[in-house]
Amino acid sequence: MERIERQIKILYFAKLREESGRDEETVTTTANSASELYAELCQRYSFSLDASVTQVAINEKFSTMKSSLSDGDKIVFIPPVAGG
Amino acid sequence: MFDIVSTPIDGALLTKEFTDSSAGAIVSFEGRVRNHHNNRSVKHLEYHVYRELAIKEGQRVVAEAMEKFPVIAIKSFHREGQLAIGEIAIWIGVLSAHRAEAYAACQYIIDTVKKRLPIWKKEFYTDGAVEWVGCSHPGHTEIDEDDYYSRQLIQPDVGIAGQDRFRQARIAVVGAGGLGSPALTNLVSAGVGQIDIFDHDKVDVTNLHRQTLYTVDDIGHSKAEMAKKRLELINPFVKITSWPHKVSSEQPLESLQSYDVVLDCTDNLETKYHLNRVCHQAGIPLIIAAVHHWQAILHSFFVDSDSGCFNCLSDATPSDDCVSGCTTAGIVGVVPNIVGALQANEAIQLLLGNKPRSATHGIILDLKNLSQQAMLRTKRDNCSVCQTEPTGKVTFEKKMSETATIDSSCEISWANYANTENRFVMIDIRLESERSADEIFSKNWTCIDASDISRLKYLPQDEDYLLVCERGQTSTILANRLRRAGLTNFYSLTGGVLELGKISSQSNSDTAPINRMLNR
Ligand SMILES: [Zn+2]
Repeated sequence: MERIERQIKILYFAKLREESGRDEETVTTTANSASELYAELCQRYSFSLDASVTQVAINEKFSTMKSSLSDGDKIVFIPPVAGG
Repeated sequence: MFDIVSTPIDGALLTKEFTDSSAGAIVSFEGRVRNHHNNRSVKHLEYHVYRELAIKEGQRVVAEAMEKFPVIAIKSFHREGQLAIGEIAIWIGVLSAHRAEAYAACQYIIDTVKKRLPIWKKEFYTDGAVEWVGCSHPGHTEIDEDDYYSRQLIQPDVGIAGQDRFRQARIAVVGAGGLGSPALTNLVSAGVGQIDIFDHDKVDVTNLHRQTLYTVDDIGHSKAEMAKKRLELINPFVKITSWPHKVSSEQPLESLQSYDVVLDCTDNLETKYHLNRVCHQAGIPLIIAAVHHWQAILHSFFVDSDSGCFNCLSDATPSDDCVSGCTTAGIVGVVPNIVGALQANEAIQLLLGNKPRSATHGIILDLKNLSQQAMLRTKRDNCSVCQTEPTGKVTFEKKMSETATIDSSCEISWANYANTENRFVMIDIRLESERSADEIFSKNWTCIDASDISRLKYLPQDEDYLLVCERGQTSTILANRLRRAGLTNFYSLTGGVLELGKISSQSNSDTAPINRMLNR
């Protein structure tokens, strides 16, 4: 399968923000889906959270990790939060 | 005017000298020292007065009465010092064009002075005993429910109807900690009729920096019970029940079906998923929030929507191991205090019939820079929770529409009104903007704003009052409210003014008396 490069803007929250050390960033990636992108980021930042329990929103809509990515997408990975 | 005096009050002289040529009535009241109290024989008494405040507050009460009732002038004096049996303790005089307003203003002043002025009474009994009487001090004992909500009632999109919706609601708040404290405080002070508090924890010193319901004296005591105690002091008109146990599948929410909304203010995922499941099954709206450092997430889940449930949001159910609560992650108190108040706001929007944005979106807040992201939610196809059909819970809207039709004993139809016209004093409770200047039928009606309940309460009680509004809804709610306070002389005109337009366009034997009345 052909690997297309895409520019994706990523926002981090809670635990993922701490582990990545940033609020947001724009990455160039060949990942086709949210889960592939998450796996890439796990490599880079050693995220402690499994993809299955992480919520993802693409362009302001909650989506699933299987969703495919398009150039210019804005992705938010949201770890489970329970504090109160 | 109002003043405190230390020499005897001459009531007859004050009445004689209080005149105005436009006044058709003077009502004067003398409160006198009597020789007995609670079956004890009284010799004399002493009034101790915090002069500066009493004069200021007394003047304020007089000014309020001048504003509420169309009277010409009001004068009042209260004594201080030692008084013998039969002496006048308070004198009130009201001048007005007509007697009704004068009586009402006079009654308002004596009731309010007794409640609000810093004046204390010491009774000296014939048996030598001396006692301070809790008769008049800056009062909390006799507060009026309508006064409590008066600033909320006058907001046009809340009004009497909105306040009544709050009163009829029952909300469960699960977790009385950082989120629960502000959520509970705001729901209780808004006047939500019944609140159930669930929390199995005890107050700990490490809670106090963020859990503002508690004081150092509460440490070691049950949160649910301490919260109830505190909230009852904030608003005595709300029925609060405490459930000091953990909510789980073994110990479910009591009276689940009777809740109109459930707030998840807990700090653990297991409870959030449990509440999501039971609220979905029972068909009850659930408002979930969580905080982490400066960030927060807020969701409202309504069963009858295609926005999904809490379980739709991730593919697997996370365990509590993958989150860190406030205990280990750390938290600054202001964050849960803002977010818990937002949960109360969403519940209040729902009770008012508005659909909050969090019903369709997950709202992510970052309080470090006040940024907000709203993420649209959709139902996940393979969600195990959404696949079960909710067992038909009566929605709050339906409950409201049902209760609205139940208590219609106060309603009078236009036909009945036309036949018994002279029996009623008509009170027009519409907003200024709802009245048209060229209406003929309403020209003799007394206009009193629906939110000015205290003025309605002080109308002379020997008349029957028929309340009229635009559609007959507000007037029925208001009449029932006044009837609950014992004022059974208030009625509501069915269908309001709009109904009149419909009737007068028809012409048959039923509408004849109405058309006769309109043509007169
Ligand atoms: Zn679901």
